[in-house]
Amino acid sequence: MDGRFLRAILVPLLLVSLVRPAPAAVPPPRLQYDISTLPNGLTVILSEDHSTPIVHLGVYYHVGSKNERPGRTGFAHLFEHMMFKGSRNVGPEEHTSLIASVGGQSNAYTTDDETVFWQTLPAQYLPLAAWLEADRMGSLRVDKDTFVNEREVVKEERRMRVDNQPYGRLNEIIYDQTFTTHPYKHPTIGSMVDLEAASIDDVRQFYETFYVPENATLVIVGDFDMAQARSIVAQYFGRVPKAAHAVPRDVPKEPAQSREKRVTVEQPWPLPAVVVAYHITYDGAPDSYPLHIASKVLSDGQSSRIYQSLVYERQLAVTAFGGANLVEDPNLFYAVAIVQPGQSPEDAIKALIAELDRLKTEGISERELQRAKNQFARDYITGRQSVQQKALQLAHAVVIHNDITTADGEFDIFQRITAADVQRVARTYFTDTNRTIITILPSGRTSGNGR
Amino acid sequence: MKTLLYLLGIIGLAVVPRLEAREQQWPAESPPRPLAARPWTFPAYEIRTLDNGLQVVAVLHHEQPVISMRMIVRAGAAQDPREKLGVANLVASLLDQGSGARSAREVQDEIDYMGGSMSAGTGTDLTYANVLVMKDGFEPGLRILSDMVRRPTFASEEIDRQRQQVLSTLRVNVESPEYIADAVFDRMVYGFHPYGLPQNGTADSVTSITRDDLVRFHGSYFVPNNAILAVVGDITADEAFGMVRKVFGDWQKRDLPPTQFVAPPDPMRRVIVVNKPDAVQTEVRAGHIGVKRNHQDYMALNLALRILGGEGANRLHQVLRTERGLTYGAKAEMDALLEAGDFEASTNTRSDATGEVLRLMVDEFWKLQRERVGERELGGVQAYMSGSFPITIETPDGIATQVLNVLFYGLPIEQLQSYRERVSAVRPDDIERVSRYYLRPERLSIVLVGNASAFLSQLKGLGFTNVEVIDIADLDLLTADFRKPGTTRSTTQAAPSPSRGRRGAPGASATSGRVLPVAHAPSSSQAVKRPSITPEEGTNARALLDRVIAAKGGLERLRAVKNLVVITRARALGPRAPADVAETVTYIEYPDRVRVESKIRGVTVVQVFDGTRGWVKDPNGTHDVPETMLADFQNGLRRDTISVLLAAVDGRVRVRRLPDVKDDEGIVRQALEFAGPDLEPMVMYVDSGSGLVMKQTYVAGGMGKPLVEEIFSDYRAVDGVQITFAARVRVGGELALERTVTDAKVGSAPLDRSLFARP
Repeated sequence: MDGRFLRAILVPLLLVSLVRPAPAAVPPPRLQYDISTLPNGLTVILSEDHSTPIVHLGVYYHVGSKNERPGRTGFAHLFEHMMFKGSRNVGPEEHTSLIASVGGQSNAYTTDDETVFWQTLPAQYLPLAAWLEADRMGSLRVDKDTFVNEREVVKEERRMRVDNQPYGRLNEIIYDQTFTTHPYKHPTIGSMVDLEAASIDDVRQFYETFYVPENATLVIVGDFDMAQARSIVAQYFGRVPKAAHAVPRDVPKEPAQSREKRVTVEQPWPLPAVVVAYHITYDGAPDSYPLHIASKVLSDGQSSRIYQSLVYERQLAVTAFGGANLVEDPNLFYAVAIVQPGQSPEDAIKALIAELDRLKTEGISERELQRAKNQFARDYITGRQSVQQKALQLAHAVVIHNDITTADGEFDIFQRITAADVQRVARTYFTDTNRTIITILPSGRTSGNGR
Repeated sequence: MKTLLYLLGIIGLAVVPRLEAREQQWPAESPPRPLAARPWTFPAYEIRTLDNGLQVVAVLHHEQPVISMRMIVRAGAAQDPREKLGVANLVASLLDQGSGARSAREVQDEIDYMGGSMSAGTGTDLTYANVLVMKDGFEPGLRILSDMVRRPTFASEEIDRQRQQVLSTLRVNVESPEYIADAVFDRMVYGFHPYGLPQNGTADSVTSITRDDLVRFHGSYFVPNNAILAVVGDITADEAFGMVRKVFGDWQKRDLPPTQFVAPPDPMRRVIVVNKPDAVQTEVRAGHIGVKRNHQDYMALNLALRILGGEGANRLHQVLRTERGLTYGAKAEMDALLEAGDFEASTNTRSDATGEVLRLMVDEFWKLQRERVGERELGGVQAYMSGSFPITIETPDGIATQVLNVLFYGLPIEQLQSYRERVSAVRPDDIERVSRYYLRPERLSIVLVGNASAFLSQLKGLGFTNVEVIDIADLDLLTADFRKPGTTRSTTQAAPSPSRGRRGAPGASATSGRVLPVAHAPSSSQAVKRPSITPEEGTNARALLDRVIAAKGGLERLRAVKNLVVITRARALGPRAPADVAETVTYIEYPDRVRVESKIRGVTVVQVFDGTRGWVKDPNGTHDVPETMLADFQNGLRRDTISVLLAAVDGRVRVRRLPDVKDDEGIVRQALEFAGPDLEPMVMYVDSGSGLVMKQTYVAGGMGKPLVEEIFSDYRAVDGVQITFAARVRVGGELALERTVTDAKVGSAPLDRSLFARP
């Protein structure tokens, strides 16, 4: 405590000598874009960027693992794989090979909230990318043989990413323990049992329900001519029929947690891990911005509080971090520590809680606030360098915030946050009853000390 | 014969509407043409060298108000003293933990407060330190970087903290199958060359490192004439070079210590299994020594390896993932460093598929070495490499990376502009030449990290008879036999004499002599001409083949069979299949003619193949069948049990023994694989008691198609030949067809020729 106080005085003095006047985040250039909606309901965002002769085309379907029905966890992601298995004019895996054959890169990913298909390729091949994405939006070939094969691939993906990695199941455990009702309880990759249960009929139904133009946002960023791009989009995506039914938005809500939960589980991991988690609000909610600042104060950079306290000062943890997971529906603020050999998980838990409580009792200093804002500005700027990053920012604003102006507007929102805002949200969310504490011990060890 | 029935099943299915409404209404068309290509040149950059030898690159890029500074020092883990492995890594980890006048906390607070970031790390041949700041923080940022590389404090309490971090990381790493697989592979390939040793050291070596070791390493290598600095971002060239001169101009030049490396060993076949009983997947690595980065054949080899497992082609991905669903990803790449390099294929798969995956992977090495690569496949990789180059230099840091690479490896700077021309200049002849010259599939170093009990028995059947098995707890990356001293060894075979030891492996002790080169058979079609089956494997296969032939009716009897006429009732299964039963008469005239008459829903369809042409007669008339269906006829005939067995005996297809497998009922079956120039790999599963074929499997039509399983039962003798009277066909794991035979005739005199004429 004393040392920290002393340093707080010394450090600003040092900075004065380094000619850094009142730090104000350097304002980044604003994104230029054009947004429109096709008659079939497809949202289209076009953003010209002529710095490199490449173009990025992404299709963001507003469906993710939180739209899965019970007993079908992992299905949204499995379906994402099926989108590579051919459509009317495109053979299985041909999408990827056609893009690669012109020097492009392509892939897809699935989150809790979205499924994203993207390609970045030489600019002259924009028609190819649009044609390919429209083909699978409009005419996916749903074939049992490829489905069965792909299900095996996804099972291997789960083994690789989750089951065979030390700490691979960490997130799965955190969400399973903290959620009761909302599908965020389940990992996007799903469970082996549910993957096995998925059927070809599920594939058809999912496609008809969610892979429709009104549930998709097309983003094109790069070296193109605006009029030409509009006509390409109209030509290929315009012919996708309008959906027959409205897209369901009936994701069950998570009830408020009424009392603290403490659990201990075992995993075959080399060192114990501890987690402290709180339910919070959703991305774009007014409280989400101070929560993001709180994340930075706690865990961005080596001068952040959790690193300083648990890793550097007390050496309780090999690694420790924490922050808000701000997504479409209310999610978690959680902190994790992988416990150093010889240290006790209990001490690590106490240290994490102490840091979260400090946000309530002491708040943050003006200097910490400014640091967090500067770090935010850095992330903001370095997160808008490539055409893919720009597309992501624009699409995220539309799909998750339903407001494209947030793609640029959040910069100003962040610069207006005060230390009092941060303390207020800490008091709102970091309460005992809203807390879950998880201790994960190496299998077969009775003592918590990872010796 | 069964295959023809299966074929019929598919034809029957095709009658039923199966396209989704959305797919049907969609216009059929080809991919659109590209627009006019847009001009492209490598973005602007400038290179200058200060008087003290520091090379400086400035990349000017004004889109975002940010500046990135990257310093590379030409010393990495390869410069670690042999007894102090991990020094370079520990030095790098301490660069941002206090330097110049600032303590660790002060420097971290300063950079974070500026909204900047800093990092440092080590690679095999280099150490890097990076600082990123907003454009108004250029000078303080550059001064922080200067302190990091020139004046690290190495405070003892920071050394202890970082040491503890490294040790904890090592502790997690040694339970990571990926880490273990990579580390063991490097050791096998590079031996005791520094590239073969663990980059972050071992618990013992890291513990033994003193502050003096760090200071000595830093003092020897962190000099301006051994470093390159890139300044990238929203700045002018004058500002960049001016400030660099101001901050780094007084850095004193110094001579570097001489470096001498032991040579990597010659490639040697060796299979090491690291047993991790709780693993659910096996990490698989296979490869051998390659070339260094600055090598005349680098580009051709790079393309060859990409054909095997890189973007734009990737045969491994095709074979392992797309065709068989055995893995999430597979790749092969060439690691080409300053002093040496390697070729490495890698993947992971569920434990019980390990043997199959390894076999397929090794086969692909053989195929690449023996079979000429076509223009088209090579073109795909070239198009990917040239086309994607602009994407790699889209951001300022991407541009800097390309320039730094060229400077670091001492390559001609013009290579940045000529990249695409150099990629396109490689021809199939070049690929053929380098593949033959450099690839050594018979001498692969192979590492499998996983649950050994799930796959060890498979390896032996595949010809990997000399497998070293090491429990993960006994693994030691620094001993010749990868074992901690004093631990017991286990191999799948008795140890051969020490005189057959590794050749030229410096530092390897005589106890490493358990390594025997064992040839592994490729299943490429060329294998027929150049058999490389081990004697043991070949004998095993031949013995089982003989038993299968004896059970089927004996070689003389089978050779005497001229034709088969079989009457069946078959029913297609599955959600879209018609419920009706098809009644079918099939005539086969060996070796190459077939006629199928089938009646379904009262409609008669006749299919005929006369060895070259084929027809279908249905109520609408008689049609020529498309070429793809001709191939189906041909392949169906080649997969006929009698045809395959005779072809194998006569050496027209290669036969190989596979590991025994349990069938659906848990009964252990023996397995034989048949493959040849005109026969895609097909596996027969044999009842060990009777010698009868209970199942055969294959992938018809090649890439992307599902596995077909034909399951046989109810064998009855017809004229001295065992014929299966009941069969089921599964496609991609789903039951697709069931059929029973009501009558079968085996003929020794030719059938009426008109049966095989146009119907």
